[in-house]
Amino acid sequence: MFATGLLLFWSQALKAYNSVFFRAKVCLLLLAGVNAVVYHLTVYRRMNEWENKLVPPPQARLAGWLSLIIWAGVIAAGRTMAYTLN
Amino acid sequence: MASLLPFFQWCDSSWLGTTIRNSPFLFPVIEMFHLFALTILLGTTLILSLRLLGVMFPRQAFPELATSLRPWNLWSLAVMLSTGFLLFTSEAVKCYGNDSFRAKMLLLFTALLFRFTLYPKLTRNWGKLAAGLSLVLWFSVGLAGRAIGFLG
Repeated sequence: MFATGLLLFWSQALKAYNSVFFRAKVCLLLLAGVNAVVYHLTVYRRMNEWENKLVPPPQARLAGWLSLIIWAGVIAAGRTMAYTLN
Repeated sequence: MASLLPFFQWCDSSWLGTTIRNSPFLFPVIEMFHLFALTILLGTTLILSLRLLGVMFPRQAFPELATSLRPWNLWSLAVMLSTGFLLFTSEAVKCYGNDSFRAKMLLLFTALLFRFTLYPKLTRNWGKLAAGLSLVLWFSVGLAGRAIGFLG
């Protein structure tokens, strides 16, 4: 996705630069990265304490929800960007 | 196909079709839900197929995995079909003359028929065939769908 996304971006970099939705998409991608890093540095490291529990700790669930919401946002921003270019 | 034209025209001029067509945001919003469901439908299809091909989750039994993923697979399919129909009504006549749309519908009906008839039987003894056909059919539906906008 990053490789093909970079190629698509390359073909219309200036248009993308001027698009609010492209900027939102990049911000959301960064947020998705931050969420993943935070998860891996914190609650993921203590996974042996909770991996067999029925309900994971709140921090893990929060990371899961954030991931779902942010990635859905990436799709929404990307699709809207295509509608608003030209 | 010519006998289907009145149906396409009826959809196109229906209240639903005109409402979606005349709204600046309904089509994009419905399409977004179409895409959210697509990630789940193709995601579950991919996971089940890779399990049948022996690439993924080798220690988990296929029937178990299939049972866990079935609601996700079927609900995402339901969302895809209903949002897809809504998108279709808003440009039905345009779709009628679109070769990619025709290809997509043929592939979709083949994929649906396969999914609910042969597929469950094949997974028992012909897992790799079931996986291959499933992947080719569903990803072709997606590809043809993308082509509707690009190729016409």
